[in-house]
Amino acid sequence: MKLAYYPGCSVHGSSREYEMSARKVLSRFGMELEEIEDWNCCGAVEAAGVDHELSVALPARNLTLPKVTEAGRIIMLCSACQAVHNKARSEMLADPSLKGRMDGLIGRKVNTDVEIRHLIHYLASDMDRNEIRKQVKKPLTHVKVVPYYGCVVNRPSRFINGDDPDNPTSLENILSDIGAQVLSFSHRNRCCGGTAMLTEEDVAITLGGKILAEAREAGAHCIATVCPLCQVALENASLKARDASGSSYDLPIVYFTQLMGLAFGFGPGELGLGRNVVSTRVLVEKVAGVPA
Amino acid sequence: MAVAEAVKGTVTPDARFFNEVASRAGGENLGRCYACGTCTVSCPIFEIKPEYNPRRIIRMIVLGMKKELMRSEIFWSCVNCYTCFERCPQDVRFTTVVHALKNIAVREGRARGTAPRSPAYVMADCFMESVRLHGRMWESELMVRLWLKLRDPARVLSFVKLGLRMFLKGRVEMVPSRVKGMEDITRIFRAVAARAAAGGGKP
Repeated sequence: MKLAYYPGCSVHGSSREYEMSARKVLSRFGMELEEIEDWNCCGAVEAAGVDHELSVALPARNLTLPKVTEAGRIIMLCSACQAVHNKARSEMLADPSLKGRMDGLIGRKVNTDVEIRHLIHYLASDMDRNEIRKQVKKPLTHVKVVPYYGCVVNRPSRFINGDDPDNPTSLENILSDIGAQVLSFSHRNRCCGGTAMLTEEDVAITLGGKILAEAREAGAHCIATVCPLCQVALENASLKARDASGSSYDLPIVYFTQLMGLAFGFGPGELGLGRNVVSTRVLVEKVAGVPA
Repeated sequence: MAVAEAVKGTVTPDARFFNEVASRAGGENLGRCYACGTCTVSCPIFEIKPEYNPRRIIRMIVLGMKKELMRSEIFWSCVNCYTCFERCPQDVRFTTVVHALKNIAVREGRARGTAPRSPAYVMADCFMESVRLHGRMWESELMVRLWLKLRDPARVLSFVKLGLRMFLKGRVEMVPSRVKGMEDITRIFRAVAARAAAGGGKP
């Protein structure tokens, strides 16, 4: 089965390992991501700051592409791309005159019936959990993981048909289905500071550092993430944040699809685990059963 | 500019400011605020930088402190985490209220031939320039543009640690990927610029 897929600029650029691992995982279910031809940038949070109408028009153009209408649903890996598309879609549904202006501006009908779905929601809610459990070849029995959702995978829930924004369960469910020890994590919905990484880096490192500190305190071997911006921001914080004793953090920040791939028996190279900035070697050895 | 510095001296309230924000997309529910402060205590930025206080920003809008708020540029500190938006018991939607404030700042700046000085605005401007040119954001170009505009060598040096590692791991895109239907993208950007120049149209 083919799934219409919108990668977005980060997954296309700095976070290819997210897509690599997602493709491997989906292949086990007989599914394939099919990139929507000629997609454009959603404008992220930047367009909304510059001009509201621009922030609707950019995602709206993607909703005019023929493949999107044909599929009726688009899968996204990036939390922000997903939130931006869902926000624009909701705003057009609520305001027919805005939708009309977009149709006119782009010169084609914007399809607001399309479902915009983050991969975590698709795997955790639209699929049978037993299907995931059945694929596990190497349960991550020795891996302690903290689930990290970040901000906009589930917020604002008014626009996104995802998890409960305060008590999400999709990551916990998937991580326990693949046999990992899922630790309780109070920072799971807190901001990583990614948006401020290039503009107010001290803010970004402080926010990221809090997440890393709690994860280490909890005894985690890795942090599971669902968003390319969170991944990069937390890796940046790993290099620069310091704990009370002055040492830096060396917890791998991995995509949930990379962990699923390991449990499904794929090799670390196939899942792009060598591309993570913080070394994932110890984690990979834990999965293989080598005592670390 | 610090908020305290921006409000120094006599405040000249602008009675139209509240309606100006509330009539913009995202600002519609501003009048519902009963100042409970849920936004402020939920805000991860307030937690580390108390000067960025969502409840105070709402009060400044209600009191017509346009000049002071715009001069402080403090609202550019929002990281769009949407926690306040999610938790507000009155559905004020502060995150999009901030979008409305930013839109006003950008538009009024352009009308005067200036632009907000906040690095977050410079970032947004460089980001949108990349999208205008390619239909997609090219990360490497965005960073170079940003550094050239901010003219702050410390930022470049600080990024070397991560950037070099990412480069060595093949995570830096060397050529931009480009949308084929660039005429759509050009039309969208032209229409937005034209409406801004005319100063009219429902925002």
